[in-house]
Amino acid sequence: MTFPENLKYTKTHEWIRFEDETTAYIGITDYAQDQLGDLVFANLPEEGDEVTLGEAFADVESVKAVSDVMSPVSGTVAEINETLADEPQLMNQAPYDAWFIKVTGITESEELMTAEEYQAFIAE
Amino acid sequence: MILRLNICREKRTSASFDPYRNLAIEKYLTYHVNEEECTLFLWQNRRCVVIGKNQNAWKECNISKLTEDGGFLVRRLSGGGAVYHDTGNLNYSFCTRKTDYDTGKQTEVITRAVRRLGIPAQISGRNDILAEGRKFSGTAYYNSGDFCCHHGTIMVNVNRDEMSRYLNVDKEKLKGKGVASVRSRVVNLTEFNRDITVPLLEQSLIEAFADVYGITPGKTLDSAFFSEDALSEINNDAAWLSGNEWLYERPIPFTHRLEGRTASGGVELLLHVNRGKIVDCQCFTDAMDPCVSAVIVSLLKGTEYNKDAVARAVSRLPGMISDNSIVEHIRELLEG
Repeated sequence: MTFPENLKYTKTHEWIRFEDETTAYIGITDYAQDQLGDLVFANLPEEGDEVTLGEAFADVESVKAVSDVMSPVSGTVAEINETLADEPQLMNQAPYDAWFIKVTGITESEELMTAEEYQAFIAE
Repeated sequence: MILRLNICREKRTSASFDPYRNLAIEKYLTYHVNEEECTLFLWQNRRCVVIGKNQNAWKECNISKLTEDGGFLVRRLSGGGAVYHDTGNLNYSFCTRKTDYDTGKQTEVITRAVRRLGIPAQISGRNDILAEGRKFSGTAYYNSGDFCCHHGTIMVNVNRDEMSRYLNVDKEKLKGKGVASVRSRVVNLTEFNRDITVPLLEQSLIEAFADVYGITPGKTLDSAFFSEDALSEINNDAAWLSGNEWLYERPIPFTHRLEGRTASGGVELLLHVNRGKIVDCQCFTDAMDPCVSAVIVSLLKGTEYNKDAVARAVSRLPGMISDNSIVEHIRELLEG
């Protein structure tokens, strides 16, 4: 399992990559995809939707389980990753390339972990 | 660690067989379960087809046949494939917090309960419970934040002819996204033990629930015990779960190919559908003037994807063309 240093991580196993202070990409971590198993579907929000810190913004389906994906920030969905609709397996194969949404206008963010902190967190 | 067990079971009045209300009660129980608590909900639906959250309704279910026979299409909150329910089926739900969620232990409640009734139950993979190689119980899951729900079906005495009547759809005609169902060989528990009934199985489940957790469950609840707030949340969710937006308008795009021959030639229609609407359409035919096929396309674009709406749209055609059979034909194709 890998945990790139340039990303931040959440306790609910999302990663976030800030482009600048108010713009970021969000996806699920290598640990999350490993725990979930083969992912077959992703429900994404639409461009223009608002996401809210601590609330679900998407969900994924794996082996009959639907799991919500939580947003670590509040902001506006500027872009969604359409390729996940055609190739949901990318979430398993390349979790850090398989971003779900690009969020702009970020107004607040939860306390995030570094790669090192996240690894310690999942080892607990 | 689980310290308290709750059981919820509605009195079997006609309202208790409402599939949308049952899902709404289950959702309420899931999102209001306390820490260190596990709620077992036992419920039954009247005739319906229940599809997974991310499935294409038209691809999984013969909706016209089902609704003509008084059945209901239901989209659940969990993943997986399509199943047929009637009152020969018993459903269970385990609602817990994430830290207390243990699918192994929860599944043991089911296997222990049916083994006690003489069923040689075996777990297959992560999701199915089989007897002599045939499936009588399927499971699925959903979770959000700290709240988890594990639910499943147990076939006691389901009408298997009806089951195949509604679940058999010519899937070649529909291509698109969404989670596909996996066919299984199924079996009713009464095929192993003729004396098994739903009440008997419920009793056995309640006993196994207590045994597996080593705790005596509290009083069995039904919605008469729910607060007004709880009932209003359940009513709202039941309305949402039975509404078109949830059932038909989810963003799961697909293409429906209709093909046939009229007296004057062949017709092929490609309906591109998303969120329950025909977003685009192509019509290929040698049976008529190409201008007419352009008109058909323009009439169908933006129409709701159901046979009544499509029939209304194409019925505006006859004035424009001499060959009425094409209109009839499109209707017939959709009926099939």
